[in-house]
Amino acid sequence: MKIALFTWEYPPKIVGGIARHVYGLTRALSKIGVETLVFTCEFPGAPREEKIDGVRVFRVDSYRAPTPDLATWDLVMNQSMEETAAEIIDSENGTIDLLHAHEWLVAKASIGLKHTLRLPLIATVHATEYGRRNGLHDDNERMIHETERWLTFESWRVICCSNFMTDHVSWVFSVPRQKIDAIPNGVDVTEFVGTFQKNSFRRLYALPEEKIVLFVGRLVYEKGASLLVEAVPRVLARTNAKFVFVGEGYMKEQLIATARRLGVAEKTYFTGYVDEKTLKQLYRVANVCVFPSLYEPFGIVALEAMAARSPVVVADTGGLSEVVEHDRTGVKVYPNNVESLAWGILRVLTDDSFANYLQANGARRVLEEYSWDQIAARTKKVYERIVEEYAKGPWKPSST
Amino acid sequence: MRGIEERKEGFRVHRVTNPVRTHVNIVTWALTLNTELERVASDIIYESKNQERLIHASEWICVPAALQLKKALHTPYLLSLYSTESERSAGGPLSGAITYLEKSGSLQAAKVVVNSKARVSLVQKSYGIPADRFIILDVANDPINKLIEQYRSCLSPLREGLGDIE
Repeated sequence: MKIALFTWEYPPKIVGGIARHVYGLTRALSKIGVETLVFTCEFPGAPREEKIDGVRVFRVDSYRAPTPDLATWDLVMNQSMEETAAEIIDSENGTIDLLHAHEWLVAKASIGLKHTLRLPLIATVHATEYGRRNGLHDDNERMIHETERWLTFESWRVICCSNFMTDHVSWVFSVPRQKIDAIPNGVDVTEFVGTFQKNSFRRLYALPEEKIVLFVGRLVYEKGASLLVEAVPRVLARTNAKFVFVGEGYMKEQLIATARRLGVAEKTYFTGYVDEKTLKQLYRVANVCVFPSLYEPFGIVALEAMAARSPVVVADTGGLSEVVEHDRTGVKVYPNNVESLAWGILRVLTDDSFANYLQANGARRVLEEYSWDQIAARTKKVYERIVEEYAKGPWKPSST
Repeated sequence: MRGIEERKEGFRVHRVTNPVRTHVNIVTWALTLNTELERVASDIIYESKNQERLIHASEWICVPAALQLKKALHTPYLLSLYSTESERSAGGPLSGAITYLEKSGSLQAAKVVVNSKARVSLVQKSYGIPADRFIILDVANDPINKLIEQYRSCLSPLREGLGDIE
């Protein structure tokens, strides 16, 4: 089986979670006999064509013309991606079985190729504009929303990362539930092992007597970092801790000002972005990882924390609610509720045996259900279903 | 499958609807509309089976679909340029994208159709198109027959494996 896969980001270009997702998925697919050709944007220093772990990557010319905004840039980039992919797919002599698009950013290229080559198209919807913006407020957001709807309409089947997203996508785009497959994101657990100087690394972030409460995510409204800042005094009233916030976002200054207002500035540390290696080590020295999101399609950060054997406290919302089993693999708290959040954090920080129990269960759950091998096997089954249905139907290049 | 179809005397019109209704500018509108043009044109090409085929695109606004149909389905195209972006615009924020499509479309067209020698020189200078690639259509001098003659010279050779299986 051979798949052409479209994504605007692929390592080393990493903007959000799609790059990591596609990277993990394609490597695991390769191991089970699914050959993938990845079409993605160019990136300084990265070769235009390469083969990594069995995955063929084609980086297309993405800046052919100056453009005034993201939507215009994206569509011009799609034109380039579509032309390049048409030539490469053509040179594969009819051996491509399926096109797989990740997100609206590659909708035009993948839909155009679907019709010109008459190949079935599948889309993974990682998040929606409606969800990201909590509604649609201007023409730019409406255009992205309609492009997302167009992609789900044109796709043979749609993959969502959680039951929450399945419900949401079905509602927001009127996609029949029967057309959607819920397959979670995966985590490469091997990235969270290996030795390093834990004590000296830990001292970069907290005093030896302070427990580390770690938040990882964009510092934007929907990730709930402000709730965690508000919870700091309640936690400090019962235990000594340092609150480490990893990430950037438009709320950063506001969060720092809130910490000052609450008199806990010296107990918070806003690191900004950190590199992958540092992040993985931070997960491993944290006493608890906290994800108080208000909107979360999936919550890959919670899985990464669990893979690193850190106990997690999450808001009982969206995909996070499905990733964590309360009192078994983590602690769920009420969304948008500072008191509940502080309660959850203290529950872990003040009971070592409970924290150890969550650590062990969480790590086991990730290995059993969220490894890329599991995710790739489930994705391959969806591919096989589509290829089989396509083979039976009349819509093909060779017939009308 | 093809959009709304009108049958006129000797030709058919297929009207397509932009799958994305809200837009932030004419370039985003044109690019999504072109994908729908590709869908309809692909269906016609696949249904035409053994017939020879050729696309005649008018202006930059139809270049994306023409380019893609050329690359994916080996269908050559002619491009008519009634004016160029440098003549129409003083260089707004979208001019770069429009110029890119106009240039890319001209460079890959089998023939570039213009209405005057002056425009040949302008397009040649702007986009580096070889002189023998131009067709000048003079409205006073039997342009339709001249165009049909050019169409014949550009028709795609039949390609094995595409549209030839009953």
